[in-house]
Amino acid sequence: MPATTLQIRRGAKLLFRWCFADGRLDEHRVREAVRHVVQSKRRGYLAVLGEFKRLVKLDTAKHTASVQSAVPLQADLQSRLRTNLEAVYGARLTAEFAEDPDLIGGIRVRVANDVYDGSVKARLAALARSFGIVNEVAAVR
Amino acid sequence: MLAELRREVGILVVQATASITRKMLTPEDQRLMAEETVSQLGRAA
Repeated sequence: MPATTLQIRRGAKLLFRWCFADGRLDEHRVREAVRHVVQSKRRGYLAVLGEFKRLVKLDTAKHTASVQSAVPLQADLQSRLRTNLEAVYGARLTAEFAEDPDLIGGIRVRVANDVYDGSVKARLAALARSFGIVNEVAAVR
Repeated sequence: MLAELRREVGILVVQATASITRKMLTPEDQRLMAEETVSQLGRAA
């Protein structure tokens, strides 16, 4: 008999909670948990792992800031940005910096569902919308 | 017809603005724009 959705969720949640050390998700524990579940091959273990992966992904997204800039961001600005992000989202946040010349100018910061977009591309998209252009992305390029 | 004209003008305006802005932005402008977003986050804190 297959495991119920409730059992799968409960199992994944227990596993997920076990992976925390000092209030943060511990990568070593995550690997350990996956190894343990795979070796045990208990009923519905693949579904539990699927749900567990979803929880880990959500937590990672919540604590990762993706920062894109049109040109490389100077070290002092990166540092100030990190400080401000930690003040809003907590010290557990990891910032990942990348270049995206498509932005034309400025930076775009994304943390989970929050987006701070100060790029020229975003401003042009707003301008395009004011003209009623539906496919504004094509117009910006 | 007016709507179509507005759309055409809009596309031209946006494309021209993108192209000119890309050429005109100095490293100082880039920094100022980045600082604007960093400060915005600072105010949100």
